[in-house]
This record gives sequence, C-alpha cells and structure tokens, in this order.
Amino acid sequence: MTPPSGVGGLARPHRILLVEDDPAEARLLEEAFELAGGGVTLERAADGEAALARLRSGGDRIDLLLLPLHLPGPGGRELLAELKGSPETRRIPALVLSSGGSEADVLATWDAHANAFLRKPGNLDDLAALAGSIRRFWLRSVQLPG
Amino acid sequence: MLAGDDAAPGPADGSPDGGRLPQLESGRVMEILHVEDSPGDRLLTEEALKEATVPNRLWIAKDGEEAMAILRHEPPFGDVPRPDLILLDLNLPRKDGREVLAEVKADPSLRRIPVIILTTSSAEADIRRTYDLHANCYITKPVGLDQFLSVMKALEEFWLRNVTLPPR
Repeated sequence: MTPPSGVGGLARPHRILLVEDDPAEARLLEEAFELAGGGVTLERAADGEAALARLRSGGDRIDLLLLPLHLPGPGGRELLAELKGSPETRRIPALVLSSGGSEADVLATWDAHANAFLRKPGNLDDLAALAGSIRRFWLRSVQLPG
Repeated sequence: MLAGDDAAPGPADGSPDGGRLPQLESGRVMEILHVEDSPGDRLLTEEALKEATVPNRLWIAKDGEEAMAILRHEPPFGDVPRPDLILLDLNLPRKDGREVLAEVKADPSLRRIPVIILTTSSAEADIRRTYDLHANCYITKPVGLDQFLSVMKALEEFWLRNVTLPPR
C-alpha cells in the first residue's frame, strides 16, 4: 500500500462527515481521532437533512460517514435509507455509530445497507481505540469509492 | 470445504482473551465464508486469520455457484452454518463475484451479511460498481506478504473485534 507519510500513516488527509446534534459529542470524537493519529478532518452535520444537503452540495469529498441511530427529526434509519437509495450518495461508506439500539435496530441497520454497525464506547480511551481501528481499516486498507 | 480440512474442524488457534469481544454470544465461533478460486490466496487468508484473537472458522467456496449453494443451504451444503461474514473475490469461475454480490444483496434473507470484497482488481469501475451494489467494503489485495498481513490484521481488528454483526 502507501508508505507512512506526514499525516499519521495516511497517504492523504481524509474527511469524515459526522452526523451529530451534540457539539460536545462531536468534539469528543474529534479528540479520539486526534489521539488515534490525526490526519482526519471531522465535519459535523447537526441532523439528517443537513447531512444530505452537505453531500449534495459538492464541496470537499467526504470519504466516510458516521451516523447515529437516533437523531432529531428523521432518525438515523431514515437517513440511511435515503443515503443508500440515492445514486449520488449510496456508494459513500456509512458507518452507524450508536451507544444504544436493540437487536431489532441492529438488524434493521444492516438490512438498510449500512456498511457497518459499531457500538459507541462511553469513554475516550475506548473511543480512541475504535477511531484507530476505523483509521487503520477504512483509511489505510480499503479502496474508497472515488 | 472447511479450510485446512485435513485437520479437525474447529476454531483457529486464537482463543478469547477476555478483551473486547462483544459481538458474539460467548463461546460462539465466528463463521467466515471465503469465496476464492486460487488455492494460494486461500492459504494466505487462512494463515492470516489463524492469527486472529477472535475464534473463527473459515469455509471455502471455490466459485460463485458454490458460494450461492452454501448460502442457500442447498445439498450437499445443508450443514454448513450461515456465515457471519463473506470474503468475496471478484474474478471467479462459473459465477462471477459481482453476480454473487448482486444476488446476496438483493435477497432479503442474505443481504444483512457483510460482504468484504477481497480481490486483485484495483479498477475504478469495479470499486464503484461493487459499492453501488452495497458491498460493505472493497479491498485490493496488496502483492507483498507483509502488506497483505497488515491489511488482514486491520480487517480482523475492525470486522471481528469492533463491529456488531447482525444477530443470527
């Protein structure tokens, strides 16, 4: 693959769109990615509509989407259905990151073509470990859609 | 069909280490279906997954038709468990990996199974088309052994240790 470079082992800087209504939660995740090695810009959309508007507006390419199950307004599952049903957004990898969710929620998320379902850890150390795994797999090992 | 079938079937060497193994009921082995026609590539993947800390069992399909027969429990594969994860090559005899992907993701009883494309192809058209067909991710196998093992380690860490798989 690519040799380690100036952005914490990533071949280029990456941009992740995080759908999150709580700015403090977003900052925590940002810190987790920093602790995991950086090289990642986290952009926040406060709800599903803002996320869709951002993705459809052009602008810098989004490499990866992180979305929760529960959102103000239409929920994560509705957002996922919209993303994965639309030719302009369906190929962007969408990882559901949720601190809750029943077994039925997990199943419905996979059935709606989420690229993966992740449990959101409650503390920064575990969140940084998860961010590290996302970086090593999605940003270093996987071919992202162009 | 079970990888390394001269040995007793069972989990690879790794055993639960008391760490984060939240996604499976305790004691259950993760079932992985590897669809790959090249014996060399099968062996490499098998070796890489033996290092995994999550107990797993690798099943082999040598072409796309065999993969579909296994997934649909057709004879003689009735006893093969439904996989938790599919590793899918694209260029396969009989039925091609792209067709397998399309069939799996169009089938309401199979589409929830994560499909990881593991191929030598790095063609932009393949990457786009497979994501459009709802492949869960796309990996171009690196040629060098060390790089391959490092990718497989990242795969194992993400898919076997961190992801919450669909309940069975």
